[in-house]
Order: sequence, then structure tokens, then C-alpha cells
Amino acid sequence: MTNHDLYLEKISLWLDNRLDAAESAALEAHLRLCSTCRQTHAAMQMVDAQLRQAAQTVLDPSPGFTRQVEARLDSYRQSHRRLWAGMVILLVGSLVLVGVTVAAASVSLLTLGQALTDPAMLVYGLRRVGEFAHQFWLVADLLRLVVRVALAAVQQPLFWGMVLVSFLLTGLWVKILRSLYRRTAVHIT
Amino acid sequence: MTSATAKDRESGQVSVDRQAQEQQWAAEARQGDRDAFMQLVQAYQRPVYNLCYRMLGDAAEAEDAAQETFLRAYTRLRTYQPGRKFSSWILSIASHYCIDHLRKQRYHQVPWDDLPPDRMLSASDPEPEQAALSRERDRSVHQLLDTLPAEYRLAVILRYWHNMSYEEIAVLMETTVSAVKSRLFRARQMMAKQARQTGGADQ
Repeated sequence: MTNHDLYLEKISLWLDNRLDAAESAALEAHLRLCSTCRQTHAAMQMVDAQLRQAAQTVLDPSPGFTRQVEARLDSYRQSHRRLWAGMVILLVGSLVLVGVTVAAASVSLLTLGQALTDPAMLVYGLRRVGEFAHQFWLVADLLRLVVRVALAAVQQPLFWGMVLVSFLLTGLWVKILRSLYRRTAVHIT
Repeated sequence: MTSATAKDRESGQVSVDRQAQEQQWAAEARQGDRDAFMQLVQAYQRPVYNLCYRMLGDAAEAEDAAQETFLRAYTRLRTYQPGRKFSSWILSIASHYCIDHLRKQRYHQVPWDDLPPDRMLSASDPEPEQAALSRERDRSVHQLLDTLPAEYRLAVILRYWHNMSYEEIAVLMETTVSAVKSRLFRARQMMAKQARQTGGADQ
């Protein structure tokens, strides 16, 4: 910071009455000697006077300001409530879906267990895994195994019941969420 | 120099009784009393709007910013510390909102918006000619403010329009008194330079 800057900063403090008598005297002495600082001082004083004058003008918001704030608060509270309701529905829906999925998986595993009790299939599977563990055909072979298991599973009426319930619940859940968020799309404006 | 009535209206300087009343409203609002909150809106709509207007320079944006300020205040009432001046707290929210808004519009020149005459109050300019003069003066001041970065502009507005001390500005802007001194100095230096370039013709 240059010598000028130090004095110019003091001008700013002087405008806000934050200089003591000795500092003010030192500033005035400098201003008498330095035309650069004197010019800036004059300009700063002019700006200060303009600002003080302008600060007397007080503006009013529009007449309906408080009503508009109230409307925004209403909108916010409604959105907030809907958001919470949405979160609860999301949570419950997710729990139901997880439950259905776990049940369906359990049925599938039971079916798989039944399939694996067939010694011929077990031996076949183990042999194939051993033979093709490092080969590309492993995936295709395992897929075939899965298809066979699935074919066994689809013969279980309970499996289809679970799939149907799962689909119905998913559809219902998505429908509820879409409806909820369509109504929640009230922007806080 | 400054009309005490006008200054008090805008700066949010309040008496001890008024402060006690506001503390009560704030406490009730924190408990969920919406009427109490609306009393605070009523009490502070003018200083908040004026701060936003001086910062943003546009009546519609200022109104939106002021409403957003009160909405944010409502949602953050739990963070309000009882005992703190409510005026400082609400103006702090308005300041942050305006600075963020200006940063988003970094390269956007804020237009000077001519307010309709009935939206402008002045303690000393009741005549139409005087009002026109006052508007012209406001226009040139706004042009000066427009040359400043947002933080400098805020310091100037709090100092002149809200009559705040360096210490109060520092608290509101979450900075040091030394930084406030520096910002006011730099702001004045920039505005003085601008005024000299325009030959002071706008005053």
C-alpha cells in the first residue's frame, strides 16, 4: 500500500467519523500538500454527499407484499407436507416391494433346491462347471442351467402368484407416486 | 443531513420496547405461530425490500428477493438465536440471497428500474418536481453502486441506507471490522473514480 493509499483510507475513515483529532489533523496537513489526495478527497466527499442524500429516499414494496409472502408460506407448507407424504409412501412401497421380491426369491430358491436334489442334474452341473470353468461357453452353459431351473420354477403355482402380486404392487406404487408428484409440482413462486 | 424518520424507517433501528416485542414474536414464530411471523414480515418488509432493491436495482427482482428472504427466514427460524437483533438476522439472510443472485448474474448488467412514483417515499421531497429530482439522483447513485463488486456494494448500502456501524456490518457480513474498513475504502475509491470520469455531471 502506497503512502497515498494510507491517506486515502484515512479519508474513508474520516467520512465515517472514525478518526481522532490528531489523525484528522495529520490528514488535513497531508491534503494541503498533496494535490492527488486532495482531488480524490473532493471526489469521495462528493460521492459521500450523494449517497447520504439518496439514503433519505425510502422505498415501499408493493401493497400486496405481505399477502404474497403468506401465499408463498402456504405453498411451501403444502409442498412440505406432500413431500413428507411422498417420502412415507416411498418408504412403505419400497418395503412392500422388497418383501415381495424376497418372497419370490425364496420360492425360486426352493425350486432350485428341489432341482439340485436330482443327482443326475447335480453331477452334470458340477462336471460342466469343472470342464468349462475357464472357457467362454461357461456362461452359455450356466444360462442353460438357469433356464432349466426357471422351467422347473414356472411349474410352481405359488411362483406365478408371487410374480402377479409383485407386478400389481409395482404398477400401483408407480401410479401413486406419479399422481403424488404431479400434485406436488407446485413451485414455491 | 439525514431525516431521522426516514432513516429509522429503513434502517430497522428499533427501540428497546420494540426489540422486546420482536423477540416475543420471534419466539412465538419459532413455536409455529404464523401470525407472529407475519407481524415480523410487516415490521421488516420495508428494510428488507430496500436492501434488496439497492443491491439488485430492479423493483420486481427486489420484491421477489424480499419474499424469498422471508420464506427462508421462516424455514430457518430454528437457527435464529434469541437475543440477537432480528433486524441483523433478517438483513443477513437478504444480503446472502442478493449476493448469490448477483454472482449468478455475474456478466449481467443490472438495469436501472424506474419505480412508479407511488412506490417511492421520501421524507423531504413531496412535490412532483422534487420527486423527479430525487429519482434522477437515485439513478446516478445506482450507476455508482453498479460499478462495485457485490460485497463492496453491500457494505456501502448497510453503511448509508441502514446506518450501521463498522462492527454491525462486520457481524452481518461475517467478516472482520478491518475487512469492512477496507471494503468501504475500496468502494469509495472506485465510486470516486467513476464520479470523476463522468465529471460529477450526474449529481
